[in-house]
Amino acid sequence: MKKKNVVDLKNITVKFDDDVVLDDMNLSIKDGEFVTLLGASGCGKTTTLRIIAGFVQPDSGDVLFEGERINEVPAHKRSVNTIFQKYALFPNYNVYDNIAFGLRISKVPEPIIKERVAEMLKLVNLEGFEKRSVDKLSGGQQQRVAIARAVINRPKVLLLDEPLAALDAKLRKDMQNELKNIQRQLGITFVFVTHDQEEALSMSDTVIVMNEGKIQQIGTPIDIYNEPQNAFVADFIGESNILDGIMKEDFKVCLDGCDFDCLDKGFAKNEPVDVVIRPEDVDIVPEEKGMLTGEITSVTFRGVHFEIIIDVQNFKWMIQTTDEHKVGEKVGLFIEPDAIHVMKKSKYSGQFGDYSSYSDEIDELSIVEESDDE
Amino acid sequence: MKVFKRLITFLVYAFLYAPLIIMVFFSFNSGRSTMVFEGFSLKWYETLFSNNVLMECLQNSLILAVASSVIATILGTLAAVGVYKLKNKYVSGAIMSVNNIPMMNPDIVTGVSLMLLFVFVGTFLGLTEKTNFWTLLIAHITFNIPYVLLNVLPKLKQTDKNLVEAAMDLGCTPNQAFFKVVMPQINPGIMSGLLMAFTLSFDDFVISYYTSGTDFRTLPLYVYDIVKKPVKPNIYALYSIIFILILVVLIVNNFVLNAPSKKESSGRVKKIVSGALAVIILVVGIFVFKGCENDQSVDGLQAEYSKEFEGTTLNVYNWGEYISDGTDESLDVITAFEQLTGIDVNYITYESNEVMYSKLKSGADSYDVVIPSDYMIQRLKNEGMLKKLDFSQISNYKNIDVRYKNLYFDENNEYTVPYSVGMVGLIYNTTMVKEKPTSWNVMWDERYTGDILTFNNSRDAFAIAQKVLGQSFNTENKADWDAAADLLKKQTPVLQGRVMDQVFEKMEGGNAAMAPYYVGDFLIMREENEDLDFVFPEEGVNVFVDSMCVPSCAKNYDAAMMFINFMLEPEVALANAEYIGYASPNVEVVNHPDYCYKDDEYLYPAEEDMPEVEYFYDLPPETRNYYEKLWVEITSK
Amino acid sequence: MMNKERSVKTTLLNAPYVVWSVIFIIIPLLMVAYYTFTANVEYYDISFTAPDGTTYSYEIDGATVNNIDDAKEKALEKAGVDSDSVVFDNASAESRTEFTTEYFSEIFSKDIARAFGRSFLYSLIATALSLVLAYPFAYVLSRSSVKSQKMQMMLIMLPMWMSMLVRTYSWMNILEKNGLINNFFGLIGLEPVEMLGTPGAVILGMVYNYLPYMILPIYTVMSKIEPSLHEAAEDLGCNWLQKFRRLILPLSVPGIISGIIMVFVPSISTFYISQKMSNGKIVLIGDLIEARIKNNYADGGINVGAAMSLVLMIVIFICTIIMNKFSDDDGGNIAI
Repeated sequence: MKKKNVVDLKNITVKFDDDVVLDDMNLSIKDGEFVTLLGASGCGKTTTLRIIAGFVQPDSGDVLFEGERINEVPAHKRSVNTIFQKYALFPNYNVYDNIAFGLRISKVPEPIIKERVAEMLKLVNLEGFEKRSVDKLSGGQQQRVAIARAVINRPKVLLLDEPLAALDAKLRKDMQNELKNIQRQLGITFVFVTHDQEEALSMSDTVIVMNEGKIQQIGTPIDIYNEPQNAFVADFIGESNILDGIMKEDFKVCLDGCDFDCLDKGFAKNEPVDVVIRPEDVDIVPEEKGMLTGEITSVTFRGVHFEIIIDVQNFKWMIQTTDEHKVGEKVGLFIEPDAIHVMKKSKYSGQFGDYSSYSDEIDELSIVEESDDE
Repeated sequence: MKVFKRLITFLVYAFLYAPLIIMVFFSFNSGRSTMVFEGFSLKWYETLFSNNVLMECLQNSLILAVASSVIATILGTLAAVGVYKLKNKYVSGAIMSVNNIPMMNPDIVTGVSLMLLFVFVGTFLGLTEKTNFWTLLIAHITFNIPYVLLNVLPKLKQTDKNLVEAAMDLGCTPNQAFFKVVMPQINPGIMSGLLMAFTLSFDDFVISYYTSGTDFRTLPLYVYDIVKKPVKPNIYALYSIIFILILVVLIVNNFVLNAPSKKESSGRVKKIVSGALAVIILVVGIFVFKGCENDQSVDGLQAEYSKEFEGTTLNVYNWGEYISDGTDESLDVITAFEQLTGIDVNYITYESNEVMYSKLKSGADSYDVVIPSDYMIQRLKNEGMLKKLDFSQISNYKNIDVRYKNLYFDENNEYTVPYSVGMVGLIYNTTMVKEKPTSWNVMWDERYTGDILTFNNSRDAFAIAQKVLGQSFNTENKADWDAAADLLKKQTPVLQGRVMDQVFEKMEGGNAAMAPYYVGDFLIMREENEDLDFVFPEEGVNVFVDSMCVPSCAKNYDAAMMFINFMLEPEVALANAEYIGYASPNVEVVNHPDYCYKDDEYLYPAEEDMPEVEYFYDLPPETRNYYEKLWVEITSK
Repeated sequence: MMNKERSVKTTLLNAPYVVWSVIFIIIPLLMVAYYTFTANVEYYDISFTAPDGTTYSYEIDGATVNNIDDAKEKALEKAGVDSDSVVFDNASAESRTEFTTEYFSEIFSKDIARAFGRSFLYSLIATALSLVLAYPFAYVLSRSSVKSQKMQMMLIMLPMWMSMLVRTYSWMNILEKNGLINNFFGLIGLEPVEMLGTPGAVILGMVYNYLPYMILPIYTVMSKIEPSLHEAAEDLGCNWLQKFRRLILPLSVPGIISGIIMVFVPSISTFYISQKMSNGKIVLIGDLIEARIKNNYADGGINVGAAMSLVLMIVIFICTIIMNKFSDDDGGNIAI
């Protein structure tokens, strides 16, 4: 089914003073999609959102809404609505009046407003809170009011700026589901901004990975995870071992001096490439059966699995396995061809993917226990 | 929208800064006027720092502002913490309501009410100086605390309670937790409270006016006391320096110091620190300049001056701008006396006889020498508020012209030594008034509607009407006063205004056609505007003699005698006469070859040109109250 | 135990300020009331024996005579006795404090009431104008960059460091008949306009001197409005007028209220500004209070002054209470 684009960003560049925040960005969002802009802070994802909302004017490029250029249309005339990071509820109004705000602005008759506010309160499970002052609500409740306040206007696109960042882990999970449900029920386009990859992968139809004002990859969560386009994406999404390789020929890549079969093709002969191998895709086998061999330098219990660091010719591999191993053990590594993802060299090559100085740089964003060093 | 933003910002700043720019501009005037710019000159800046009285006032203002704002900040912060910790809503509500009173109350009410308290307590304790530096300080602290409290309290309410708990958890005592954790959080509030308090205190004059004593005069009080005489550009120069200094600090701070720092709070603290720095620079500057004051020596002293009273303080209470102060290369009389005798003169000014009387009567302070006018001397004498002078110690009394001895208010020459003599007349602008007026009636002439000024002072204004009606100034007959009041009411439509010191600006700038004022002041104005002329109207005019006397509350009687004697020295009296511009009762001055007003036809009219003159007498309270009420009726139309 | 210690500490923290306020805020106000309703009346007790042996005794009202000698004469006059031949047994002055409503009732005289009315009207207009000027300015200021906000705050405060008296004096120069503005009018061929001495000049003086007091509190509340609230309103379809009416205005009410109070109170009680800017032609209540206390301090001036202050204070408190009814927040946002 071919859906039409609801929002198109064409060659968008934004500069704040001399910092380039968005660099010649192109993006299309299809109607009814749940799109997530994923990236670390400062990557330009919020700016992208604000361009769609109309709070930021691009220095160059076009913003199209259902095919029409809306660069000059002010925020209040765009049929998009935003859920702000800290909700931005109006402190001078109670819950009911906050939700009714948009309809009142567009002069909808009061009886209809009443009906629709009731509907919304039901949608976000806040029945009975009409008269409550918004200061007296918990974070989750404020979040729901913010959703109701935006959604009641039946926008074509709902923009969500890290709406779950201020909530605790459990509540965040619940809200993720709830948001997904709301999106399904209403069938409107959600553009969701987050730095949390897990959130992005679990909720979205399409994930857009951004870094330094540029889109790194657009794809379904599965594509993004399984077929990262460069070392940055591979590293940013999940755990990855990223190695330098040489593409000998189609379906044949050389790693650490050994040739491996793979499913990739279309590279030049002997082209240097980045090779991504996910930790859960490597099997630990007895030394003699391994395609590569190495020594275990660290073992961390992670609940479902063990995280094992193996030193293979001074490259530290991370491997996730349910089997227990001991530090110091010499083991072999076995990799299926479909576990090997070959990527073109990019400016991120060599920056990521080695666990020799194992850090929680990605983990610290999601909640993970510290590994015990005993 | 952008245009609108620019416009409103421009408008507000233009509005706020226009008068300040005028001020800076006229501080460079080579003339004396603040209305007519004659040319560029730095002379007001040059003489500024040698003007002791002015510098002392500035120094006092700064001391007071710093002391009161710091104390108020400490008390206010404590109070804010106290209120914040209060569990009982009603108690904290009550405290906040009381806190609001000084802010809601007009300054004048706050000032008056505090004065009543201080006088009451002072009387009860039998103090001679019921208002002094300490009462002034208390008053300033009192009106400053609420601003501190209101700046600090919201910041306290914003602080995270967990922070204190976290600090205590890490081993802080509650006090340590407060200073290490809470203080940094509320610091911006404390600092802005401090700044606000300093600003209010530095500029306050209404409350200071009622609660200050003789020992401590601030700059705004000094400015306010210049009522009979013109405000000179040296005041402008002083404020211009302050203005430009602060501006420079601000700009330096914003563009240099602040540039690398992006943290908001540290920037603010830095700003305040540099503000404080500016104040310190200013204070140090004043002390340095004060240190290098000029030597003022007086030639041809006729009497001997010992140093026996060295170190004592003499309180001299005089009209504003009524002594030669060193401006414009004149003699700095006070400094000369101080250098000669080692006596420390505390020179304080007042704006009217009545104010002086109020101060004396309230017993708020003690004064050693006062220089009131004739009728006020009569009243003071009648009420037993004057001491007889010891003329054996005033050898220079011989310099006083016999015509000014044995006057009605001191028939036996026991209480007073004449200082200055003035006569009222009509000043007019010859370009606007074509034929030379001869009568006071011209002040009712409709041809000059909107160009006539009169005194903004009940008795002087009545005096003109009384002469037109052929009455005596000193009638106790209510019908006479009623008639005069009726005449004054008829004058209101043709008046441009009722003014005192403003008369200088108005006449010099050609803003009004005529104004009754003192002949000596006419001479000063004529220097700025040659079109002005003067006449003694034929119906008669008021003559006054301001004389030095010693109130009964005086504490340094002998030093006072020495001061009076000094004021009679030919060179001193000459300097004063030339500075003030009024006629001198001192024969040594009148005959002095260098006297700039020697034989002036207006100041010293020949016998045959002498107008009809009459003195003001002291009137009974009933009459005074009666005409004051009439005056309210006339002016509040 | 812990709680008790804590409450003792809280009490100790509050004590200095509470004591201070009682002594220097509450008691002085009571003194104002006391002076309003009491008169210090002087009497001269004069008794003398006439040559014929009759003893006369009079009580002469101190308000009708200047001193004790006058009082003696007056007593003799009353008795119709020749002054040369009497022996005074007693001649002494005595002062008594008496309850009186005379001073209080004087306030309701036509002239004072008129001055009251005028003060009220002018300060009301001045307050409204300050609001009109300060509100958009504070709004623009609150939306400018942090750095510029800090700088501008100081620029707003700076004129307040200059003496109010000097600033008013400069204004006179601008507005005079031959002043700056009229000179400018002359250059472009306009007739000079009479400005100084009009009610407009007085109101201008008030607006000028107290404008920062309006800007500061409004700016404070405005700067507390999160930028995201502005965006949320726009996002929900508000044009700037709707945003202003539905969001900015309601949220800035506390600042407006304290701004109004902070401008209205000093305006209604001013005396220097009105005196100078009106050429002494427009007399406000502050002028009357000042003049009465200054000019006849000893003979009732202080009492009438106190009475006028008392009424002024009551008027202002009533206004404040009414104003605060409009705001559920406790106003008082003079914080920078």
